[in-house]
Amino acid sequence: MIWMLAEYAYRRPFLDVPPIWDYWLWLVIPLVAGVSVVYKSIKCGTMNRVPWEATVIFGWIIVGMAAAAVALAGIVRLM
Amino acid sequence: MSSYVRKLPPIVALAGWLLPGGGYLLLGQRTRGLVIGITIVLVFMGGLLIGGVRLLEVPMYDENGQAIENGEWVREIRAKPWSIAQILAGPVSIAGGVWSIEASIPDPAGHRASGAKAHVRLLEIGTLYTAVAGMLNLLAIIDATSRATREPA
Repeated sequence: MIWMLAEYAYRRPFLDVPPIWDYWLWLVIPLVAGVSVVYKSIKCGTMNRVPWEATVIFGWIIVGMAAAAVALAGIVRLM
Repeated sequence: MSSYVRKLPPIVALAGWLLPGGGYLLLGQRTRGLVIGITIVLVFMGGLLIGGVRLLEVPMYDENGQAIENGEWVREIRAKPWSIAQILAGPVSIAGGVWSIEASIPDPAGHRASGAKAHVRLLEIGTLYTAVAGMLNLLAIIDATSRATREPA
């Protein structure tokens, strides 16, 4: 991880592509976090509830996507 | 004057597009507006960081950042459908598009554009980030506009 950050420091953000080809799967986490926060900020009546509710839905989305991935992998192997 | 502005949903919608979360700010919901706006901009910028600014394909401009003469708008937008979702993120997408065009222009000396084009997977993920940011902003605009109609007089 450290070498990856060190290498990226020499690159030009937004103009060059970061060397994260082998870690693309982890990029789902920030996206799901962003969707969870915005969705719950819109849906909750008071903003005090957003941190907990966003955390819960974040977990459910990740679990759901993992379950879907396992199920699809199973179907592909069976076929 | 401020209560008059609060009753105008089109102004709330416009504020939400001009500044993600701006619709809520106009309605006096500062925390909600800031959280939503900062998150949307971060998701959009995250996409540009992952795939590079050149993932933004601007209609009527080609791969080398040159304006397409006599191009048809409908055909161009059909060829670059993600630009519809991306533009919903607000002026940040327009600024990114201008930067993308500049980064696409080949360097006369090296015959190479200053901005690199990502390979398929990172390009797709970056595009997804920017498009999701735009769609989230649309959701926020709709919600803020709806709240504006429900504001007490």
